[in-house]
Amino acid sequence: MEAPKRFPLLMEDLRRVVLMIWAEDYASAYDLLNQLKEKYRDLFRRVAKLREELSRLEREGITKERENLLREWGERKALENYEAFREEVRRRVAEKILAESKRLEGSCTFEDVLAIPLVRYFESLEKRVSRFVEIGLSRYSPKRRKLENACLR
Amino acid sequence: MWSIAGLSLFTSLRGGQHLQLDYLSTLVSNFLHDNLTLSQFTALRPFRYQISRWELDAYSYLLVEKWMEEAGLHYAYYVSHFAPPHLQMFIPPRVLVEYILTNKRFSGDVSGIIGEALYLAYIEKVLGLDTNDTLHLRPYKGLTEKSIISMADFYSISTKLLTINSIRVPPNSIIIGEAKACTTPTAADIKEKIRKSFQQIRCTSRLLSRLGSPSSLAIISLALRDCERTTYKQFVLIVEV
Repeated sequence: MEAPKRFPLLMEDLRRVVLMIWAEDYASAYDLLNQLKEKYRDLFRRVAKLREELSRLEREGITKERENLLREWGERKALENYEAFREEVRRRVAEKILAESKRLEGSCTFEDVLAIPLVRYFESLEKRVSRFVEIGLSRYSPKRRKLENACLR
Repeated sequence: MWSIAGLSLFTSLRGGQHLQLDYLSTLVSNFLHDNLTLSQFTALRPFRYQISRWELDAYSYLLVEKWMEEAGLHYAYYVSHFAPPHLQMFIPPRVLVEYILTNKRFSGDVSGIIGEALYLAYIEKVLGLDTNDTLHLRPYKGLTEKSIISMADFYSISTKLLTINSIRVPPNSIIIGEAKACTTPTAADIKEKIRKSFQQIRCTSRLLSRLGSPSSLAIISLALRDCERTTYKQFVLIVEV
């Protein structure tokens, strides 16, 4: 798997956000995340679409494959081997998604698939930083180290 | 400064090969209790590296991103106490949200972070990968979507040609990684952790192989607490997926 050329740059940018969060400079982290959203807008938009489609395939697939397997195995066997049952459903759904994804090839690229983890990472940072900014946390002076081991006994 | 001893094993999941879960968990248990037979040992590659408390802190701060401070201190507690100190959530009513984030919520998080920090130490000190080119994919538990496309822990881009256990990894390749830690490594616990890691690696590689990837490598690291010797041991599986 070869990473597209702009991935290391995106990773570096995301790591800068993490450093700002560690410095408790949430306002700057928020600004930088917004800049990144603009800078990688095309990639983020395509990845969001792809994820939506994959989630839909997965949701539909799980229901369908569960029913199929339940018919094949019977309720008793499925209950007795519940873990194996779930694993088999997962396997079948993954195969379905891989087969279905050929249809997606026109609308997404390999780059989009490889970028899914990075975009998820971006989103989790964005959610957390947005929450901090919303509640006005950046108004407080950083004091976190005072309580750093308060819960260790 | 602590010395971490470890073993790595190469395995492949290509061509429909199945995971030998029982064999692997027995191997790891034997490694932990120094009971490896010669025939088992020949398939493995030993490694050893040194790590200091400050390095553990640095990995935890900059890469694990889970807001645990003093990872090195926690490590010292974990290796020196038979029963690791119990972490209790302590939130006085007027404490800001930020304090909740900078303190860990429960003991499982601490051992997980030790495992992740040791994974990063391994890829940097043993494999020669740069941790600056690595992202932890699940910085916050609970925020990632519950999905079959659940990801492994780490995502690295190698910037140079690497040779890992006889596999040549070309520059600009993506390597996925999963780190687990066992505080009380029983055979059942080890087996479950390996099974779960492979499941995560499989989910990730299934997704990434959508357009037919020419080569793809995954690394699973198991950090095993060896309380008798006041250290951690590390077992690493290099998986061709």
